[in-house]
Amino acid sequence: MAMNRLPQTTSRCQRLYSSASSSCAFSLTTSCSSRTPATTAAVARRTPRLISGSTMTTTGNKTAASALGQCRIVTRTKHYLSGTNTISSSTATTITTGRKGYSSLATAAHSHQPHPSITNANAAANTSRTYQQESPQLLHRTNQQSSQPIHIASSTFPSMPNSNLNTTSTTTASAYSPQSSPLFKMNNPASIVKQPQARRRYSPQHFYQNRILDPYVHQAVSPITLRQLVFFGRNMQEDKLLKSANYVRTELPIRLAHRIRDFQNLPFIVGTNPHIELVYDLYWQAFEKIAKVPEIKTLEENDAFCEMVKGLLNDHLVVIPQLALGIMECSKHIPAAQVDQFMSKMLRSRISRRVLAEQHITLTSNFNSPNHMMTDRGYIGIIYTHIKPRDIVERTALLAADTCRQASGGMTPPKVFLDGNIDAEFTYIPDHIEYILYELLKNSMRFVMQNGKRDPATGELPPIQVTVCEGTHEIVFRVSDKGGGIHPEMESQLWSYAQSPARFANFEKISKMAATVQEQVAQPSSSPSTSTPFQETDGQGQDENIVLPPPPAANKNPTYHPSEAAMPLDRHAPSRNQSAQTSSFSTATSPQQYKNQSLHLGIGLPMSRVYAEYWGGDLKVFTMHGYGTDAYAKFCKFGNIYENFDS
Amino acid sequence: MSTQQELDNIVSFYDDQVTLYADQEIQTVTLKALLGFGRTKKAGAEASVATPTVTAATVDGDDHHHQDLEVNLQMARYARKELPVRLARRVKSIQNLPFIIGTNPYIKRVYRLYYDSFQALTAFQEDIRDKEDLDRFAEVLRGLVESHADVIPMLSQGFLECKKYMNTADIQTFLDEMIRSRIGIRLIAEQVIALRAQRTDLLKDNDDEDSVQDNNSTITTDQSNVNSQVIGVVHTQLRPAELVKDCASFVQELCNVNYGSSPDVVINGQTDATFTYVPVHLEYILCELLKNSLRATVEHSVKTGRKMDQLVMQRSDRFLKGNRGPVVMKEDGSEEMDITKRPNEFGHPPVEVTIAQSEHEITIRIRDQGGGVSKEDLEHIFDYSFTTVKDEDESSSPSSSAAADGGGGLLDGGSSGNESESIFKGVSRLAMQAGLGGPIAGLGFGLPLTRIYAQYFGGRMHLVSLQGRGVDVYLKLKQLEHVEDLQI
Repeated sequence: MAMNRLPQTTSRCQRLYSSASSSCAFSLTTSCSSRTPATTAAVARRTPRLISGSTMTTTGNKTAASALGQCRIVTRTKHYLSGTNTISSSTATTITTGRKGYSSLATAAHSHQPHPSITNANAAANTSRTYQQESPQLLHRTNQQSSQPIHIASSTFPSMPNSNLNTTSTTTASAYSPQSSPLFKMNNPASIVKQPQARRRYSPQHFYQNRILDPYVHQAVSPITLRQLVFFGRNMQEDKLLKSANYVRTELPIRLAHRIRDFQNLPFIVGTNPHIELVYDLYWQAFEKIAKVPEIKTLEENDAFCEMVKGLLNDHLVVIPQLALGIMECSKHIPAAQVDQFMSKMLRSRISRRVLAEQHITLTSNFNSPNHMMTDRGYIGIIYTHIKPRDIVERTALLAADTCRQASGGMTPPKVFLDGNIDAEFTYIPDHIEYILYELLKNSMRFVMQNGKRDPATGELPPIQVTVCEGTHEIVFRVSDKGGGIHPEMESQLWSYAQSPARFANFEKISKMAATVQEQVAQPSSSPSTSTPFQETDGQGQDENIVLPPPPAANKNPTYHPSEAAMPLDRHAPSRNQSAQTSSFSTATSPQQYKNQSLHLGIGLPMSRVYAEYWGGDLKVFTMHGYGTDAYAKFCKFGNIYENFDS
Repeated sequence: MSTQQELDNIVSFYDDQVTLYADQEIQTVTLKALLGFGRTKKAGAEASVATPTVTAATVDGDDHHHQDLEVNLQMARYARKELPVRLARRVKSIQNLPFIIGTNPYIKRVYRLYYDSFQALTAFQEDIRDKEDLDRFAEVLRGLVESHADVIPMLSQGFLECKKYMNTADIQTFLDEMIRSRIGIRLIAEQVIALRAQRTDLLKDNDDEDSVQDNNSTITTDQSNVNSQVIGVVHTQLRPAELVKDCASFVQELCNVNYGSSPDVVINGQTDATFTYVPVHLEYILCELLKNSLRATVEHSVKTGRKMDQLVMQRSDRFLKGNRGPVVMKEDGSEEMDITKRPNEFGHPPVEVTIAQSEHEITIRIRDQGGGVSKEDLEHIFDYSFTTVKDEDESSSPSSSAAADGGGGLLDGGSSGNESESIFKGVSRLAMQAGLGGPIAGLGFGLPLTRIYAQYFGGRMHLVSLQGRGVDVYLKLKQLEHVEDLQI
């Protein structure tokens, strides 16, 4: 089933532009079959499923590996395959073959048929090895506790005991193959939630594991700026890439540790909520996994590291829905202000970690791609240096219009006018802006379609006005609609996660969320025009239903309707295809979850603000109840503001 | 004068009465109660309109003459009791300022004004029994209101001079309190005066009606209709669109005087909305905001070289045919979007005023394309005495001319624009100051005052600056009918 959707996904990706072009190698991860590029060989496409399905044999495994012949990926694929291989055949050769401890551990965790004793031995051996390679502050701890190596091992790496290993592998495996796993087929959070009860977090050692966490919590986060990322990402060299890898390797555990401590500071009752606990567990696992990665010295190690991080990113797609549900259920136990603070901290930190991880992964994949010198085109990792308001508004307006058209059963969404400094150019992470603009435009359209007064003469809905203003330091997008505004009661809860607990109720219907536009504009399967690719769909729709307004008189104002502009999708034509895949490596694993576009999750606006504030911008909404709403999304133009990150 | 003043100071030092009064609790009155004092009259007035027969009208008339009087007396008694307390608190608060500030002549004058008013009110007989007492009391109040007309300019000048002797936050607190209290005092006093005036008018109307009722019946009906909507200083059917229109043409005129051109003002949204408010307050707010917007628009046009072009020429043709008034009223959705965005014949893009009414509040959005406020200035625009006008020598500095100051900004472009016109500039400045409600303009009190006025009945005011584009101001005023606990 995952296969069938492939072409669609790709075509959808095509119209979304995203970060830099990636190598095929990159998207060939075991983590997500729907992302596998169509260009890759059929064998290659099958491989991930084989692995995750755990039905493969050693021979099949080898065939797959050999079939992939010359590609660079092979190393990595082999990596996994051989790991699985060794363990299922119950030999302990992995260690001696020069695999790094973490990779074999990781693969051990991914295996479905672990041999308890061997794994244990492997892990223990690895543990002591990797531990010594750890960062200095851990080293002295090792010395202190060297008299009890077993104790350290078991407490530091709790994935060792049998029961734990099983549960871990279930989660990981299911995340790796969302479509094939029965868990995710049901799409029912209850099935996810059931797991924590069998988890090890209640084990007596758990409390003492905090000794590992403490030094990380006490370490301050080293924030970065967008500009630093850009400068660093230019002209990538091997040593720079490794530097980047090690920055990510040391920085992620610190950031995770701070959030784990936040969880720990919640009232005890909240921590016992299954949703919250699930997220807490995921954070711990991620922390442990990354914290024990030794310094990355070679490109191969880096590749393995990227694979691992990618896996984690995928595992964590459940975080936002689970957090939202948990918060919803706990709202009576924590004061609203605390909830809001906690949630925005969580989301902000989540963005920060994903930016770091995705940036590094994308840099790596670009570096690995055979023609990486050619693929820059303004992209540095996931950052795009030539964002033009005109393009980005057009694109998101079209997506939002599409979403609204589907949700309303074919009703024509209002026009969008664009004016101001629409050709200003700046550097940003397009995913972030797109998410915000898409949310704002979607909300505006929804309100206008619900409440907007149609023009008595033309029958048209009042248009949405997007104004772009370029200041000395910032770029502001103002989205003005005449959708009747927001009711005062709703207005007071606009930004709160806690005050209207019911707003997250729809999260029960989805299990994963990456908070990107891509996942929300899943291929419309319900609408009759599904079969045709997006662009044509749009064109047809206009011919039939939409009566286009005549172009604004004499083009006096730079106002125009986005659909008139014929969507220059080929702006980055050569790299677009690939880059779309890159960027969605952590998203859209299960687009069908969003198919019901009317599904209102209630997190769009607060999430948008977190995104906007992340690089020093902000998002404000002023509503005129009875008339309409204006939203102001501000972005820092120079990218010289440090991450907005509460440590 | 000086001896008299010295005497007062001495007297006031030994005067324990101030402390006595100041220690009393303020008896707040809800606006609803204030309206309620006048409400009965409204009912009576409507009744008289409804009954056409002469006899019924006169009987009713007598009836509500009596009611009016009663209401007015109630209000006056409340004022007699309440105003001395409020005045005493102000006196006390000035007494608590640092000594050096009290010695500033402007502050001293304000102090004396309040002290005198306090004395005058406490000297008045305690019980206001009948019409004659009321008339005398109203005279006292009128004197008070008139003598206090210049308090804000005096305060602003005083604190401008005292800036370095007191920290900004303390000045801010003191002035906020002072101004808010002043609004309350004025409101109570003016309500008494206005009620009395309306009562007398009504009497006269009804007398006229008795004699020439056949000829004048329509007019009287109209008048009593108006009267039923105006209760003292409160208007129950205030149309913000009308008020915006009036303020806009007034400010446009000022703008024309100063710059030779002005932007259009487009009013859209729910132009037929009505609500209950104090028109004077709204008028003040709107004038201040429009003044800032118009000034910024014109200045930004000069700065960026916006000029009239082909398309505008077509419009000015229309203008020549007389189709275009100073204010374009636009019913929502009746015209294409870009009409409101189109610059006028001077190249100024219009200032857009949008009115939205909902159950609980009225929102007025004033949106201009005057280039916005710079980030640095944005933090200070609500500070007292933040202005670009005060120092004529410095007015040519680029940052100050771009700043939205607290109200006197219209002047500042004139000074930086044409040095040769300095004589005329002075003249026009005086004219503008007179026109804009006294020499408040340019003293940096415009925006902070506007905000206090907006907040006075539970409203809010937000200002969003889009640098390079313009400013959006959101004025959100509560529908007073729906608010229970607003106190003045």
